[in-house]
This record gives sequence, structure tokens and C-alpha cells, in this order.
Amino acid sequence: MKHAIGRLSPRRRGVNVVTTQVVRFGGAAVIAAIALIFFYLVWVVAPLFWPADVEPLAHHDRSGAAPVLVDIDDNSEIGLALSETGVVRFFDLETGAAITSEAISNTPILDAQRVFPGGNRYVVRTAAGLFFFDAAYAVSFPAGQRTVTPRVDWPFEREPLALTGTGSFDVHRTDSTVTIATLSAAEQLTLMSFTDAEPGYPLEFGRTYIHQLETAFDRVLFGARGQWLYLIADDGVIEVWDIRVPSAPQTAFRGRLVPEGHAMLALEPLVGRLSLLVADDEQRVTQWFMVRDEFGYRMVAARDFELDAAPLMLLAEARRKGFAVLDQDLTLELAHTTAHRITARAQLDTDGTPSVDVAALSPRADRLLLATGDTMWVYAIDNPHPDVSAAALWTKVWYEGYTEPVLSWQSSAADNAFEPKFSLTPLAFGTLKAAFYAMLFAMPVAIMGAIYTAYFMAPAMRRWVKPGIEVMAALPTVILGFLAGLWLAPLLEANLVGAMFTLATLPAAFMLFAWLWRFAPATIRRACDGWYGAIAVPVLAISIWLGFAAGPVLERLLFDGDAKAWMLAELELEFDQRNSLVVGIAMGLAVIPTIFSIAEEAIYGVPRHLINGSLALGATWWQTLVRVVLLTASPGIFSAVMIGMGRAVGETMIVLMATGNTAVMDLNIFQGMRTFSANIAVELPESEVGSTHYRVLFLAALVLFAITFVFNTVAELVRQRLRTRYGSL
Amino acid sequence: MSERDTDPARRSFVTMPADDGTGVGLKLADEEVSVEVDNLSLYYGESQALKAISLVIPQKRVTAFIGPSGCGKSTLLRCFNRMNDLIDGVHITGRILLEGININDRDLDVAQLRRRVGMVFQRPNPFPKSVYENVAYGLRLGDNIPRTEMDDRVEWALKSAALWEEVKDRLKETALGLSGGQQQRLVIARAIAVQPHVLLLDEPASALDPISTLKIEELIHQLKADYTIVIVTHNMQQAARVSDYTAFLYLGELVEFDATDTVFTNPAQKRTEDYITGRYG
Repeated sequence: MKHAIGRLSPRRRGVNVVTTQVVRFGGAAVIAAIALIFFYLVWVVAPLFWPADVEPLAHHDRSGAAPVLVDIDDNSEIGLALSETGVVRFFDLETGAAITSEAISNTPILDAQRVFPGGNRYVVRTAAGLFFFDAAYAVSFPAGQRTVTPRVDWPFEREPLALTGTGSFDVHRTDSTVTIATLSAAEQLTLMSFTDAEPGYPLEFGRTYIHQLETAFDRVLFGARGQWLYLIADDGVIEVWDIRVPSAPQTAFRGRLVPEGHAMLALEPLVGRLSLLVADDEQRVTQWFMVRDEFGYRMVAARDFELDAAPLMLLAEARRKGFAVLDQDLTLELAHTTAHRITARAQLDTDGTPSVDVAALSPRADRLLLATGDTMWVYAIDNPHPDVSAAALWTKVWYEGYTEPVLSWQSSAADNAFEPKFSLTPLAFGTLKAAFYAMLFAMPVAIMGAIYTAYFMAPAMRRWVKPGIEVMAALPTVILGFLAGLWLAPLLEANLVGAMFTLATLPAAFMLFAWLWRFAPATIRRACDGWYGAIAVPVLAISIWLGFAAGPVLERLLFDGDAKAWMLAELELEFDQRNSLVVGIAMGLAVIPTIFSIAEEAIYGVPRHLINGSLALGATWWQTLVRVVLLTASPGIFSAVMIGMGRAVGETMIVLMATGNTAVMDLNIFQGMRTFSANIAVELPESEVGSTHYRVLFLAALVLFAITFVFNTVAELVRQRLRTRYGSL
Repeated sequence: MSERDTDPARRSFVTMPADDGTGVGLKLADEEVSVEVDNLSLYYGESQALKAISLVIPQKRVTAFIGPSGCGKSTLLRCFNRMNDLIDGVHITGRILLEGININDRDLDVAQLRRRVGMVFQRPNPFPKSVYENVAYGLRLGDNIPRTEMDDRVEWALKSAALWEEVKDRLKETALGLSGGQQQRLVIARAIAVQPHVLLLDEPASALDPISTLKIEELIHQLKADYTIVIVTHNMQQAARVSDYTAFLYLGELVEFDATDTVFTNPAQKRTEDYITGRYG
């Protein structure tokens, strides 16, 4: 009788297929999820490095007289043109359709400009003097349709303010003051200051200060916050005055913006007016700003931009440290000073009209309005992120007002004219510094603990200790973080000497105890074999207490009673309450359970027959540990360290709460740091979606991802190598 | 014809040296004593694993411990280098004298004892190091030995363990790449590199294939010229083939101990005969 082997039952076959597919799907889904995260990060970050784009949007005939000033509203919808005959005309930027126009002057306009800083206030000069007007854009929703109604407002009064000078003039305003500087042909500078410039009231009771100049200047410009006054001659000579006391200005600097014998073709202040952009006849734009070093104030040329042709006109962006250069071939170049980057070069097509009368960049820097001859040209500019470049992210950048190039992270400020500092280097440094100090604390403790627990500890004690330490991993890091920030940091600050002393006394006390233990009776020693760890606990507690108690005494004896002052004076080490020591301990505690658990498992898993083989050869326990056990367990211990490192690098809450989050680059253990993770946690909620800041934070996340990815990959490669070499049998 | 000569297993091993007079005509009383076991009892906690065992291990002979599983033969072997110390709750009474020294003395340096009494385990257990470093391991534990002398001693140990020809070109390669039989001979080389007086073999061939087993057995024959060898084996043919003296243990008792020839051909005890003839075990 034959027994055929039956076919696999359909049910079993079905279960096999389903489980195989579920497992396969699960694995693929994990990889896909990680890949998706990666690609999402890249997708958000990539626009930072894309070039800008300039496209012609519209052109329309200018109606009315030739403009002396053009401008664009905040939403880049409405254009404004002030004609030389004194008519303000508002028009739709795309169609050119007139919206409204208003005559504001009966006398011809000589000159008009935006008032510094910011806003839609303009100052106009006629033969009769100066007057101010505002462009107001009222938004209403008649019949549910968004409608913007532009009109002209009068902030002070329409009556022109008589000017003494006829040369270049500039106006600086604050909430309540207006200051007017004018150059006159008689080489005089007139400063008129109105301290109660209330809207709705006439400009009255001004004080006038007249200062005689030693040489002639052609242009006057107020500098940042009204502190500086730049006096510039057409040949490039500049004098910078400190006019905080308008009656007695001080000359802070005198120098040249272009080399002698060269011409200055254009000059434009960057937003905030800390910097001046100077175009010279060597197809170059140079950024100058005032710095203060030990020799006092001076003006420095921070960086150059090489152009393709001789520049004709410089236009500064209103909200970023970017600018546009229009050169004589009517090529538009878009540049950014911080990033030191030219994001676009575009040939403008203006029907061959070779010159531009007036031009304006919109406040958002997304529209360019040119008036040439009888035509208005509108260009759309897509230049969302000129302010970031690889060099600005990672290398030293010379920021405005700094004496030298630095690495700095300072992403935002209250001031619109602020220059954001997006250097990732201090954050990478902080991340690695935090991880380094955490590992410095955690690695010895966790690995030594793992060795002792796995190799020397009595099994009965190990049954309690190992799960006990592993439970520590379940402690939410936010708890560790606030304990570190609110309890440990002040404690260490108050007992700095004691704490540092304890770092030395703790191992010493431990070794002393071990040495003394040799003299204990043999029966007690045998009975306690494997329980030394427990016996040592009171010894350690006492030594910590003694260390802290000795702190104030030592501080008095060694450091004149103030260790922090001594450190600052003798070692030039600054002390910060939220420092790397605190982070090292707190984050160390967070990673110890991870490292301990994996390392302990690896050491405990070293096969018994290897240990016996070594002991049978006459090796002591210690020799066996060092020469066989640690060698065999090395892949596992290495993994433990790398996984701990990965955790320390990505850890957020502890560094957030206990580091002070200052992006300093200082290895000093008594200084804080700012890590990638904490930086993202702090800043992402308050960054505008899609802004440069937002994307740079995503870039930080991408870098963090890459760091941990590289760490883990290298760890895995090394671990596999070690395992083929030392792996257990 | 003796039972041993009719043993088909023995006849198949034609390379076995037959002229060394193994086991024939030896008398315990004539031998020099290497280890003397005197009234040795061993307890695992409450249960007694060895019961008042007394015997002498003759010098430069091969002594085999046979008996069914759990009879205590490995436990007895591990008493000779105090490997039982590693097991919790082991308690020993009685004396073991190695060359006249009581090795159960609490103050004895166990590491030194184990350098005197080498041991090879059932499973090959080379360290995850190179072939060279495995052999040098025991040598490196003690004094600093100069490089050239170390090379000589490693070569000598590998030659003694009949492994030199197979590994001399791969001394720097990991020992884990060797075959099971090579690994076991490497472990023997490692043990004899420190020049012990006694070599304990705990079922050294039970995890090996027949060819490797044969090589190990040949090696044992060569080594007994210089070492006192104690071998625990499950395989009675192996005991008959390699040993000069055989001790039969049963349930922790030493049932019979005599020249191998005697034990296998003319056992004094009924229990020995039953075991040898396969009635139990």
C-alpha cells in the first residue's frame, strides 16, 4: 500500500502567503516611510538653493508727464508714479489701468524720495521747499470683492517747509521726530530737527543746526537709527558723522569708497542703512559698513560683487539685505549681501530703450517697475531665498557692524532691517558638544556598569539591578530636562567647587574602599562576593556628601571664595549656569540605560565555554575579562555606544531645557550650547511657513538626519566587521 | 583473542600505532603517581554528585573515565583543575593531591594550578583571535616572553598538537576559520603551550567527525609520552583504544578502576560488565 505525501492544505498555504506578504509589506513600509521623510525634508529645503527668475509681466504707456518717482504698494498690486508736474497717479500694476490720480503740487517737482526708514511716506522737494505725503491703500470688500483704494494722505501739512540748502537732502524719521539734512552750495550742512512731529499737526518748532564743511560733498544720507550721517562726494570720498548730538556732530570716519582715480557710478544704502552699496567703474559693487574695534570707528569693505557690465542703477530691497543692479546693457542682477550670492542675471527687454529714468523694487522684492521714455515696464521676480548659500551656512560671514567674519546663528529680531544670521556651524558644534559631554559622562559609567553587572555581580543582585536601570530609560526626558535646568543647574552653580571635587573624590573613595576591603575577614569577603556594588553605595553617598561639604572650604582656600571669578580671571573661562556639565550629566543619565542595556547584554552573552577556556588556561577573572570577554563582546559594546551617541545627538528636551540655548562656539564645559534639535523645537513654531528661516530649519533637520544616518551606518559597518572578526562562536 | 582485537572499530583504524603496548600488562602499583584522589565527595547544594572517591592517576599514562551520563565523570575531571569553583553551591570534601600538593586548599593560587593542569573541553572553544594568538594566549598571561621565543613556543605547541603543517601559512588568520577537528587540536596546542603536567580531556572528540576523532586519538598517543592525560569519554571503544587505565563511575561512585585491558576483558564488578556489554548506559 502506498502512502502519497499530501499537498499543502489550502488553509496552510493561505496563511503562509498572507504572513509572507504582511511581513514584506511591513518592511517595505518602514523603508518607504523613512525615504518619504527624507524626500520631504529635501523637498522643503531645495528651494533655498534654486536660482531666481525674472520674467516680463506687463508694459503699458505712461500717461501724464515724466515721473520723478515710481513705487509699488506692499501687495505688489498697485503702482505709484509721481510726475514732475506734481501729479500722483495710482495704476494697476499689471494692466496699467489708472485707478486714481491727485495733484499734490502746483510747482514742478525737483526731487522726491521715500522717507527713511520704511513705510509709505514720501518727501518731495519743489522750489518752495519740502513737503511730505503718504500713499495709503485702504482695503474694502464691496460685494465680497477685495478692492484696494489708494489715496494720498497728508501726515503733517501741505504747506512746504522752506529749506536753506539746494543740494542733496535726506530725511530720517522716528515715531515722533523728523530730521532733515541738506547740503548747500556754500559747503554747509543744515540739520533741521523736529522733536514733536505728530501726525496731523504741522511740522513746527524745529531746531536748525548749520555746520560748515571742509570739503564739498554731493550727497547726504542718514545712517542706521539716525545715529550716522554719511556725507559722500561723487569722487568717492566719504565722511561719517555721529549726529546723536546734532549741535555738535563728531566725525567718526573719513575715507574713500572707491580707489582714487576711479569713479563711483551708483550708491545705495542697504535696508537699515548700516551698509552702503557702492558701484564703481570696474564693474563691481562693494558693500561698506561701519565697525567699531579697538581703534574706534572705521568703515570697512566687507565684500565685492563682480558684475558683467558697468552698473547704472542700484536698487535695495526693502525687507532683506538683497539688492538689484541694473547695468548699462539693461541686465538685471539680483544679489544678496549676507549670502554673497548673485541669484539671477536677466536681460531686460525694453524695446531697445537704452536708459531708465526711474525704477522701483516692490517691498516684497517680487516686482520691478521701470519707467523708460513713455513706457512703464513691469517685471515679475521670483527670488524667494537669496539670503542663503552654502558658504553662508557653514563658513564665516562678515555681518553688518561686525569687526570680522564670524559663525553665528541669530535667526530673527524685532527689527525689519535685521540681518538674519543662519550659520549652521554653531548648531552642529553645539549638537556634537552636547553629545560629546553626555558621552563623556555616560560611556564610562554605562560600560563599566555593564561589565560589572554582567560579569562580576551576584545573579540575585543582577536580577534587580538590570531591570532597574532599564526602567530609567522609560523616564520622560522632559522630566530629566526640567530637573537638570531647574534643580541641578542652580545646585551645581552654588556648589561648583564641591561638584568638581566630587568628580575626583568619588573614584578615589571607591578605590580606597576596595583597598580597605582586602583587610576584611575572609569569611565576610566570601559571603559578600558579587554584592560589592551594594556595599559600596553608602560609601559613594558619603563621599559625595563629603565632596560637596568640602566645596566651600576649598573655594575659600584655593579661589579666594569665588571660583567663578577666579576661573574668569585666571583661565578666562566664563561660567554659564545652564552649561555643558549640566547637560552632560542630565543627557548622560538619559543615554546610560540605552548603552548599559545593550552592552550588558553583549557581555553577558559571551559564551560560557570561552570564559571557561580562558580560566582553564590559568587566566584570572580580570585577564579573561580584558582579553576574551570584552574582545568577544566588542561588536555589541560598540553598537551600544553608537546607539547611545545617536540618541544623544537627536535628544531634544534635555538640551532645550538645560543648555540655555545660546549658539556659542566654545568647548568650555561651563558654557551652554544650542543644538540642532533644540533649535528646531524652539524656532519652527514661530517661523513663517515657506520662509527662508523655515526652510533653513528644515535644512537643520536634514543635517541632523544625515548626521544620525551616517553615525548609524558607520556603526553598523564597523559592527559587522567586528562581528565577523570577534563574533562569538 | 581478546575482545579488543575483535573490535571492528579498532581494526578499522589501521594507522593506530599497535606496538606501544597500550594497556597490556600494566599494573597500577608500578606507576608513579601524578594525582591522588582521597575520599573525595562533591555536593551540588544538597545533592551529592561524587561519593567518597579515592583513586590515583598514574603519571604519563592515559586514564579514561567512563560511565553513563550523569555518573559524575566530568565533575570528577573538573575537580582536578577546580573548574567546579565556577559553579554556584558546589561543596567539596576530601583531598586531591597533585604531585603531593592539596589542590583543594583555599589559599591555593587557582590560576597557577590551572597552568599545571590543562584542560580541553567537549566543544572546540578557540578564542576569536588569530591561530597564533590562540596558542600564545596562555603564554601571554604570565611573564613577558620575547617575540622570537614566543614564535618558537607557538610552533612547538602546534607541532606537538600535529597541527603545524595545516596552519603554518595561516597563523595570522582567525582561528574561527579552522575546521572543528583543527579547532580542537588548536585548543590542545593552546593547552600544552604552557607545558602543563596534566592534561584533562573532557570528551574531546564527541563533537567531531570520525577522521578528526582519529587524529585526536593519535595525538593522545603521542602526548602521553610527556603528559599525564585524563580523558572523559562516552565512547567505550575510544576508551579502550586510547587509555592505559580506565575508571568506571556509576551514580557518583567509583565502581572499578584498573588497567584498561583488565576492565574491558575481565571486569571485577558485575555492573562494569553490564555497562561495557551495553546492558545500560
